[in-house]
Amino acid sequence: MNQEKEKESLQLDQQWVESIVEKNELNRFNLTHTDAPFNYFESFPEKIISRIQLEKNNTKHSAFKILFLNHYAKIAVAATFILLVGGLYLYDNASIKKSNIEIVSMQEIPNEEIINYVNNNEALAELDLDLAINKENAALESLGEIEIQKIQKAIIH
Amino acid sequence: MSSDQELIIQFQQSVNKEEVFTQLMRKHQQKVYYQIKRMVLEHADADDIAQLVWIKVWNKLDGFKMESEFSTWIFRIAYNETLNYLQKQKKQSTRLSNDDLFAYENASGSSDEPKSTEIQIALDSAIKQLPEKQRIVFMLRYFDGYDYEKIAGIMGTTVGGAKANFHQAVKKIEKFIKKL
Repeated sequence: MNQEKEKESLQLDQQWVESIVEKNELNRFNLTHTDAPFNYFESFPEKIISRIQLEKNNTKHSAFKILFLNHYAKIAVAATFILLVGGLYLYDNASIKKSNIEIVSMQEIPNEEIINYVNNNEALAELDLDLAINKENAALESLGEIEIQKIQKAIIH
Repeated sequence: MSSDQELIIQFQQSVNKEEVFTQLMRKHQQKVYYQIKRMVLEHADADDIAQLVWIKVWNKLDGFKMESEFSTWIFRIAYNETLNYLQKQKKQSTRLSNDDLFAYENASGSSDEPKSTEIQIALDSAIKQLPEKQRIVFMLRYFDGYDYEKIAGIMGTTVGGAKANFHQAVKKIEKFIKKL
């Protein structure tokens, strides 16, 4: 039923067009725009298949290249890792050696020098203590008699 | 000859796809080519687009789920590829070119020419001046006798839209022919 309706509708459309332009002219137009060079359709499928195969090969080559690139990338990553680990190892060893050198140099210091160093430091500490006592005394001197008595009472109690 | 569906299933299941694909091409290549050529008019362009279309079909056929007819699917690819090609080339193939006008004026100006040539040139010009969509609908409907549902499927539009395009195309052709 639907097919019949569709057929009828198509016929009506075609008749409408043919009422404007003759059917022969329309057919001639169609022929001039639907021609192709001689043997075109005979060779076309082969042309497409060979193009597809060419593209396939190109894809394989590029995939191969990508694999190679990946291989190189792997080597690069491995080399970087080795360099990093090696560098860290060398750095660590160097710092250990450095600290050993310091220990050795401490041992090599003569006893006299060490005694002098301690004495000098003691003198400095005594100086610091004197300064602190003087500061406290100055603070007490600035207090009034009543405040001094209060402090004395607090100490006694 | 095997049906499209059988060939597609064979293509999707086989390792050696080239042979099945060649069969599909032999079956549909002419209609695809003609559809393209009606839009671009020149063989060299139509050949380029037809190659692009079949390469695309090769790449996508494994994923074709047969929800629509194969012919509708491939005509839609051809339609879209042609529009892309025309946009890339920036060719005003649908518009009346200066050469066409010159040829038409020469033909209509000389009374010695046979009348059929005049009508041919006029018809040619009338169809060429149509917008792409109207032109392709007119061709598919009048020359190929496709129903509006199939035309809508090819063009990615509605049945109503396809009908409207056909009516506008015929009216424009009529107006163009009557003016002369």
